[in-house]
Amino acid sequence: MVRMSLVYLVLGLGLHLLTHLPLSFAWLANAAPSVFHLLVVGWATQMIFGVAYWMFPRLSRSAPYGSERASAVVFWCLNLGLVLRVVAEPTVPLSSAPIWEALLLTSAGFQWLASLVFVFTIWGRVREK
Amino acid sequence: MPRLSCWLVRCALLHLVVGFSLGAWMLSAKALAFHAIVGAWRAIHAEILLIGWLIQLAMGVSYWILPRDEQNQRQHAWRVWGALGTLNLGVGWSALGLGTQQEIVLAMGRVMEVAGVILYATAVFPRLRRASRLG
Repeated sequence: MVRMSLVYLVLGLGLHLLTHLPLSFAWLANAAPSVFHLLVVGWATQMIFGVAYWMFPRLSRSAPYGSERASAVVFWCLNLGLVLRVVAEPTVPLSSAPIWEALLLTSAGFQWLASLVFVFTIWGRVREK
Repeated sequence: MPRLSCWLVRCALLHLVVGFSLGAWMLSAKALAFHAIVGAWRAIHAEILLIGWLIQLAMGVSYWILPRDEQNQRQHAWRVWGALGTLNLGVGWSALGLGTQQEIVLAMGRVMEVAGVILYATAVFPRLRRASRLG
């Protein structure tokens, strides 16, 4: 998660730079929300998720970080959701193909699911020690 | 993790779920072309995630990991409890003000948020001063 967050930091700032260059791509003109979410979800939120998994009080000796499967669900849902969003969100106003709307809906579902599973998995580790 | 940190982090996690739920709903609205009704929800989404999630989580974790001073923490605990209450009430009032477009409600919410972070900062500041004095 921490590695991916670093990738999003670079991607987010790179895309931010591209949106300010005098390029005549309609897609880039619609990319402002994608840049913002690459940085706040991909970078900041994912970095927090990764650091929280590492430093919050351990759950038990046998499974110190809780369910690894649930953590993998958080990782994949958050990243797939974000990538789909970045691709589909600027494209929806430019294309009448329903696939882009379906991808955007899927992205919303994935990111929402990631937040729910993260809170569910980390909640038990937020405890007095 | 101290009890106060637990409460701050748990409240932050609840804000994360509410904020992401709102965000998912707004993104769905964009996909289904009814985003005209999203309007004020965007500001509420940002308020909940920026202050309720990010700032509150940072407060909770920093209260836990900053250099400890048991006497100071006992003495100033009421301030952090106050910060927890006022910050969360402030986010709620601000969201209500943004949703209803009532400036006075929004202003009250923002005042509570500022009061919350001032209470928190004044409680934690002596821990840093003592730690830097001890080297």
